[in-house]
Amino acid sequence: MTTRREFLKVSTALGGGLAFGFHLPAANAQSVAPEINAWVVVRPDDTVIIRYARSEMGQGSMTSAAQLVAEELECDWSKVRVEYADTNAHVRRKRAWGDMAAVGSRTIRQSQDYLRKAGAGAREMLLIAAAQGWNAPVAECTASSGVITHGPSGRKTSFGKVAGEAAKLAPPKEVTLKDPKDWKIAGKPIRRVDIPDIVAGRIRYGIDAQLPGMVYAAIAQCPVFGGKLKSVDAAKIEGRRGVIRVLPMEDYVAVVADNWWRAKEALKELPIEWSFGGNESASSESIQQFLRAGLDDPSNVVVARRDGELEQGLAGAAKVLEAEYFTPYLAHATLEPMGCTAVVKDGRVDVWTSTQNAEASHATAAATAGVPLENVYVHRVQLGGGFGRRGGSQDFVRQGVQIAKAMGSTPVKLLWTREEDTQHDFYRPLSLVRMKAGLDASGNPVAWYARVSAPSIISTLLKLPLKEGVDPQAVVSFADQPYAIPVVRVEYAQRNPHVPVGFWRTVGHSQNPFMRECFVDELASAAGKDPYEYRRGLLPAATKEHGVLEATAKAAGWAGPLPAGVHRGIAVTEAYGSYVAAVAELAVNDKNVVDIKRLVLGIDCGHVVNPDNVVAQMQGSAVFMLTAMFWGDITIKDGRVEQSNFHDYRMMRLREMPKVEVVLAPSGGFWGGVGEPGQAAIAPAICNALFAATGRRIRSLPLKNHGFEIA
Amino acid sequence: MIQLTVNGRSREVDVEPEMPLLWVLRDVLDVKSPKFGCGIAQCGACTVHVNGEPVRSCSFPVSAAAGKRVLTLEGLAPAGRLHPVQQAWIEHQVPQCGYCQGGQILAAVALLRKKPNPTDKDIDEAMTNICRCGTYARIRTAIHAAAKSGKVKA
Amino acid sequence: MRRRSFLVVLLGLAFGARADPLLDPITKGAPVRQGRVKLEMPLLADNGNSVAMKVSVESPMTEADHVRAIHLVSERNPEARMASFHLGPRAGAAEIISRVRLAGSQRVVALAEMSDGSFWMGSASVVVTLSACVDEMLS
Repeated sequence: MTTRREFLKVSTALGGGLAFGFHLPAANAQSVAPEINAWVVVRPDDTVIIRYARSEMGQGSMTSAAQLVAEELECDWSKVRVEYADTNAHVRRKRAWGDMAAVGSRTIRQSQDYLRKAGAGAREMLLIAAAQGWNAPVAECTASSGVITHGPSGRKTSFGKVAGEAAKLAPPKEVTLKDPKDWKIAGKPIRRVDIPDIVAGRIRYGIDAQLPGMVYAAIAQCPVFGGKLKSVDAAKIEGRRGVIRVLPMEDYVAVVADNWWRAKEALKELPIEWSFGGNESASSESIQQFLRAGLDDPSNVVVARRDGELEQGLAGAAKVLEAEYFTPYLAHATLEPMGCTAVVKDGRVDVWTSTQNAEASHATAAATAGVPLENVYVHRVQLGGGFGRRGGSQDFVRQGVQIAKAMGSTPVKLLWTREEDTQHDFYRPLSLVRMKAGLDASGNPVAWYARVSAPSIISTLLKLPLKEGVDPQAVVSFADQPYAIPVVRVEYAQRNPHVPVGFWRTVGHSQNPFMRECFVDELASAAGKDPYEYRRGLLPAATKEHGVLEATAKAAGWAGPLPAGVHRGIAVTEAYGSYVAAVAELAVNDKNVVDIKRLVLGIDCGHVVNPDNVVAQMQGSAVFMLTAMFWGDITIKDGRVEQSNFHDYRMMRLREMPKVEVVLAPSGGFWGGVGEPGQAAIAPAICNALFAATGRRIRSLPLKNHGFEIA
Repeated sequence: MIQLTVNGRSREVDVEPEMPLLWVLRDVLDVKSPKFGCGIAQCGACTVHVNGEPVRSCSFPVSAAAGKRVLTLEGLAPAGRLHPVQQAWIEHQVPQCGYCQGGQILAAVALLRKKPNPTDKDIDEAMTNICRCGTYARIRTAIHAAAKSGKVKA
Repeated sequence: MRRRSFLVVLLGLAFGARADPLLDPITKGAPVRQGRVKLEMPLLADNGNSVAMKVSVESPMTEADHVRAIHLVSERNPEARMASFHLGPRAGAAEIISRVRLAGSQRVVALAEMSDGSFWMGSASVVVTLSACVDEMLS
């Protein structure tokens, strides 16, 4: 009789969670062939398994990370399969794979060093094993494309043949890494390893988990944030076909049924009473007033940056400009709504969920079920979009495991409706900013001030203490602004309305560069100078901002003539260790329809691991930001979010997509992020072009509130 | 009992006639490529073909598919081969997260069957599926490429 | 640096004294030895609000030889000194089970102060997974 452990070991070797009937692509299992190190497994048939620790949500890091390992490993890329690192093994091996979070545009830049070292280390071990087998000095052996050659004798062997012996060796203490200019796999537009599965319909997302005997849960959470469940009248839906249980929880109620549609339909008919919790009179208007008080209240303010004396600086200026800018709450709207499939059985927890941080899901599942970390298994899946929603909050995992626990040892698939997803998000914070600048007689800024009145994600979501009361995300792009201005003062008034906030793609850089770069444009205008030349003059020549601004303006032909009615705008900023710039060319007709003729997006991310993927991320960022800036507006009424689905939270469509040109201007020598920076310079470039076209300064988003529509 | 042919195979399901085809496919028949994005026919992630026509299955009652042929992404090409649209999708590295792409591919296939050489305007009108990752530029390029390949059968 | 102070520093180093800003406020510069103290904390915590911990110190807990106090020190919290537990021979066993609040991923030190005035330490590293988004920014 096979024991459970043996059965699982065998089924894992067969390449899938077959024990649970969940079909995975063949490479997606913790392989049993010899492991050279935690990142590299080589099979006797020369297949190379490269492990990937973080999440794949379309940002392409699964492939780029593998390129870095393969480059140093000197394997045959056509024999590479990428496999997720298993979170249970990760815990048992004391975090052998390090950080698993795909957040902050830092998968590549944070892991590149240890990934490359892992590839180089594995290569060395394979070489030593081959050399030992030949009784030859390892210095006379080289590896290329998975083949090891002994130079003097011409003898050859393959990785697969020496992998068994290599796995027994101690890892080398030191390795040398290649110079990126010698890259053959990294730095190339290698095709993404997951695209064939996507295109064939084989890829699996969290929502696709399927287990024998599984039941389904739909939930309703209190429409007013912070409220609790008071009562439900389960009797009203008990007789409905397929309904199994009604589970009242502290802040939500779940209906469990034999398929999800039945659960969701039954939930619609369930009478629910909420204790709203006190915020049911909050509205967008009251929240705006609350934020405005932050701008005017002299007492409750912290200083994020102070160069020189502001009052003096402004007093000495020939001209002083002042403006207020505003950006609204935004929803993530990942196309796959939140969800989690879980089974809690005999003290063991298995979870399938689309998450940006499998480690966080693992920890949450353990804490929720009350079991040791070693008893949890988080099964890895592709994400149907992340954009920051699935990293910093694991609310859906907490719920999924709670419900599974309540259902005994029956597997439960929890899935949110789009309405729940829209109305129970952790929104991009709104922000109200007042800026002032003093210009000298030549129009150059001599003093610059910004006060930000906005919620703090770090305080409210992560509940972490702030250094000197400053939330870096709230003041980013202001506190670290790059222009040569002698007097700079940045202040932060933390104001936390009851609406939960979180990390939305590009976070503080999704809004602050819009405000800063539009205001810089106002200064340029007041100075009577060309917005590109004005910035160029204020950015020290050696800075990366200067470099990417020039490259983008050049590619856009900034100084050249434009067709009649077409106008330009420009912006530049740092974000996530990369430097981005944008030039927008557009026309606006008398009905305020904005026809974007061309969007030129430049990025300097230092080293480029996969150029085609960087281009894809920039193109995708354009859609994400244009959607947000034209229509994105989460509004509050009676304490709850007014929007619910794509009919009232509009998404951009293919026909509205403008021509986007991407300028890759990598200057080498550093590792900048790619997933998020692309958004940062777009809104100001567009709004600056709108000013050129219409004479109207846009100081708040979305554009629909100013009567603009996209062509 | 409702009978329908899914990817060439006859299936019988004992469900409410108003149950959306999407959930019959996903939860009853274990056909996973049509996805749930909105439930109100706004996003198109649930797009399948019913008797060759693209349909948003989240808002299509299974009773309306009775006796008909349903095609999902899994059934688009025989095992081991790829449809020219799928090939173009790989050539041009179209998908990012991929969640919407089953619907996008089926919408594109339906378009090309009607208009083997679509103009940009044809593509604008037919391709209304939402892509949150923003792969629209590559979708357009790939459709033109598939059309040019001449391999798409009407 | 002047020659005299340089020599003093050298001598200090030769006698094994280390300047440790984290522990000195408690030890007053006395040497701290690794061992005898076992601090058990989970490798991963889903949030920092309430993280389980268990400290056990090898000690006969007699009048002559016992643990006087166990101090918990954080390398990242706004208040480095998280808790101090005062014990005596009547405690029976030098073992504390509690929960602590952590301001993000960090190393925690358990410092045992013995009846003979000596200090022993053990430590544990905890990754607070939800602070992953900002770990870079907060260090």
